[in-house]
Amino acid sequence: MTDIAPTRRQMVAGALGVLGATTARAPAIAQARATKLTIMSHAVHKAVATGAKGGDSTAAWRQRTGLDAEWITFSVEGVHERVYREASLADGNVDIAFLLERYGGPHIAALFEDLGEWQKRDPIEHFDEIGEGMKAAHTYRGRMIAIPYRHATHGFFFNRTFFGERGVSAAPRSLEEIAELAERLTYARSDGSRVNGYALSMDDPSAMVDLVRGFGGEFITPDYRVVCNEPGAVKAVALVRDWYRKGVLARNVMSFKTEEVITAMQQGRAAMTNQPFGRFVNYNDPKQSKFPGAIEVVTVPMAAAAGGAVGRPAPAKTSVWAMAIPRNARNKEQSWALIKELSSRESTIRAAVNGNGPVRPSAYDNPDVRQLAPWSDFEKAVLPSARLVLPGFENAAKAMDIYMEEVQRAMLGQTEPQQAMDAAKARIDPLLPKA
Amino acid sequence: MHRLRPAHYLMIAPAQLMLAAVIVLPAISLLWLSLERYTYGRAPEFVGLANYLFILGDRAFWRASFNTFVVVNIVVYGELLLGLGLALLVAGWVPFRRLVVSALLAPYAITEVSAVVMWRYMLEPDIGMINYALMAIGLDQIDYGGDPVTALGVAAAMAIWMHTPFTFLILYAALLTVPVELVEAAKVDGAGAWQVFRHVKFRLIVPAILIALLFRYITAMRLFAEIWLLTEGGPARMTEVLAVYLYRQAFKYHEFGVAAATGFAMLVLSLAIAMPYLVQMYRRMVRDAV
Amino acid sequence: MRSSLAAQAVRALLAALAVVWSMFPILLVVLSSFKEGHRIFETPPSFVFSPTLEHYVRLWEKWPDFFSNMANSLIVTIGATLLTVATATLGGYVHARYRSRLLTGTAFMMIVVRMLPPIVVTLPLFPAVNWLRIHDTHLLLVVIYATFFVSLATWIMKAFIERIPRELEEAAFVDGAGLRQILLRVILPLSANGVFAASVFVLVYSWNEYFFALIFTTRSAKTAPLVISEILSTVEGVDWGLLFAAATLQLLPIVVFVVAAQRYVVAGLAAGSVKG
Repeated sequence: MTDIAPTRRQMVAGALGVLGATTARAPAIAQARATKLTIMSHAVHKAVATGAKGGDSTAAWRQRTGLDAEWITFSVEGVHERVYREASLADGNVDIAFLLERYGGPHIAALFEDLGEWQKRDPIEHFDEIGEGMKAAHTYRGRMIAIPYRHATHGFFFNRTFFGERGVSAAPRSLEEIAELAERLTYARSDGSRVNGYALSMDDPSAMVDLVRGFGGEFITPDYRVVCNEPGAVKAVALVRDWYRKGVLARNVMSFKTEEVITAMQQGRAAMTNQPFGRFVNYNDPKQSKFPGAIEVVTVPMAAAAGGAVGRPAPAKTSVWAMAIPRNARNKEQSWALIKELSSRESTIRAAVNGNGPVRPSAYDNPDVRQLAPWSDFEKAVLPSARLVLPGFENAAKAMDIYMEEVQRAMLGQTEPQQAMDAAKARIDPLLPKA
Repeated sequence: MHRLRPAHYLMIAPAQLMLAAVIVLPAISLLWLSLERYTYGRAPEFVGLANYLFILGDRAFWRASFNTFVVVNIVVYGELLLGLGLALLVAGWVPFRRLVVSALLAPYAITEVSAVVMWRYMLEPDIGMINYALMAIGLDQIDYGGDPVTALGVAAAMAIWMHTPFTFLILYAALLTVPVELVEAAKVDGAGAWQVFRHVKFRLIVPAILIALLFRYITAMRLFAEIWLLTEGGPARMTEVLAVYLYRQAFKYHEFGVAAATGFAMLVLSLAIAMPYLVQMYRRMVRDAV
Repeated sequence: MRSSLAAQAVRALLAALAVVWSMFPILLVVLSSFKEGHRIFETPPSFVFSPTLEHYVRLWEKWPDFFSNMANSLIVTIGATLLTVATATLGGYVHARYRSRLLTGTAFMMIVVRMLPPIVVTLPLFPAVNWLRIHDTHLLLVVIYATFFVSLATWIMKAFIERIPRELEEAAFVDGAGLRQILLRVILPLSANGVFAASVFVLVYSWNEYFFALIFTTRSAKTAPLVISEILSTVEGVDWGLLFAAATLQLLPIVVFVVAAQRYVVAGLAAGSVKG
């Protein structure tokens, strides 16, 4: 995008100022007394970075520099819409942006700093410890545009109270068992409130792929083949369709984003779900949840038919949120300083205690983390096999939308699961990067 | 008639400059933009009519066009009927007329965002007021999250609620100008209420009805927030309207060329609807200018 | 008007229904914003409760920015209204008093642009706004909002100024008044009603506008409707009480304004649309 000197900006602003009122807020002035960095993220990042339980990871940096950190938070989709828009401007308003790999792609890489260069110049401590796969998720043609901060790996959650009310004693150890339980847990409680057996976020395929992989299927392979119409993957779609028909899923489940799933679990409107392990904290939060302490988490199990050994964890979905510096940021030195701070071992532990999925394995050894994040063993167990929702490419956003569109068409009964998935493959194939 | 002096040109200049800079030039450059492949991090590339061919071949575009067509017509004629009924009611005898008019005007002051808040609250599954009431009398709930037709219906109801004040006021103002003598004369001739309406009042307010229809057609096509904040176009992209389709192409897929082609189609459609009115206005203005 | 008692009763009933249809959702939000949190979704719904300010307090604590966003809305609204009225009065005067081919052309252009959907200008405006570096400023919203209402406002002003007898101007002219003085001393005071009528529409639009604010603001110039939409989709699920508090603060002043300005709305609509 065009770059012009500040003097022209002031001239233009002045000229327009004559036209308009004196309401313009001159960006130049704001810049001169910049006393804060603006961080654009999802609310969860602010919560884990500054939470009270583990401590505020920005505190030391704020004290040292006298700067403040201003968090602007949006929904998952909202963050990316805004960040890319902001990063494409001549004049940046955002100093640090949190990005999720599946909303990225090579075409947006040019909007951000190559942090590999910054890392060389002013390294983050023990950077090797962060997994190569996580770094690769945000590296495009050799440019690492973001430093991993949070991995959101899915676990399987269930409400122990509801299990008790329906006479279920143990956590399910196969997808088949979950499928059966989901129907049993769709019931009216003694106070008349209704419980849906399962809650599924449906704004993108991240929750669907757990089921797909649990049945031995996949959406798009790492070498860019669309396989969502193969038997295991179709089985998952058929299951979800049946659940919807039988009322296991709420009638408005197709508008569920991760936010609605949280509400459903907290309010006891749903009995089970698959979501990031860290949500354990939200679901059991005494201030927000009607079932604090009753919601437990284990790994998402494979289907017995697909997995062989019962109880083996499915290769659940993982995703990597990472910190980027837009090319147009105003104060990149400070942006990098704060990223370094947030990425340190100490901050990683603090954030993990606040409910973050730590990108440094060493954090799992910390006793505080183990105590406050009782799911850490399960999480550690699934990490080696966990996979991204889909490999990164320019049209990933479209591919995900097409996939969900076809899944929902099957749920609505407009088409059969197999046909829906055949259609999805046919529509997504032309969008893949040409080999 | 005095002649225009330079000072007069200066006086009309600010408005014209604003219109040119913010609306006319962008609308023209939209055509150019629609002929390019334009996304983040890449130089724009001239692709001819490829973007138009793309949207013409895109099922979601046709779905959005169809939805827009249906919703706009429901909204416009729904408002017309409701607005006309209210105008006839209020123009006759009603208690506390001023207060009633105020109350009918109030939704005009509500932002779409708050309207969505209100309607979503009333339609929350199981516990929302409307759904609770429906359940209590043994009917099905209104399920905008799962059923596309219902979702579009809710969006249309919201739009009607918000914009009826406009239609109502135009028709109400027009009815007030109907001469009492004409109505009385018709009654003396033995016309009933319906005949008075059809042969006297209706004829006289036809121009106002046409204006209200035109302006609502033009503005109803802009429907965005009602859908975006209610369903984001889901499930299965079945509740998208053209503005939502455009927004998704631009800010989610970063396909600014495709979005521009959509925008240009909307622009041409708007002008086509407005054409009879514009031609008539142009004739009248040229005639008056002499 | 003489009608039978039965007809009156029917009319009163219909009017009551219409008022409920119109006002119920608004009252629901306002009343619920004062309701205790755990009773917001009580079934069956009840409107007997002891009012509480808890949601307003929490709004203040959790979304302190909402109040600066309200201030942004106010700044943008006042700015856009002033700009609209100023440009429309100047243009309206010329269009009311003179005829020429050029004026016919400019007047026609004003009608045509009212037909264009605002959303289509966002895409081309985006790079321009970027180049001018006025993204996320009050100025940008002021200019956009004013532009979309300047033609309606000019039309309204033209209609009102046409009603001012030309002789008054000529008398002032004979007394040695220049164009500027005639505008300020004769036209403006006598067309005050037109100024109000022209203001109402742009004022309501600017206060409530969502789409341009969504596209063109991030932080500094973010307006209240945008924040309400964000409160509607937060990660902890919808906090209805807090949402109602924010919506109430946003809508009460403008509803009161519109009701108070009722006759200007009617006059403006008549002048702006019906006469074409």
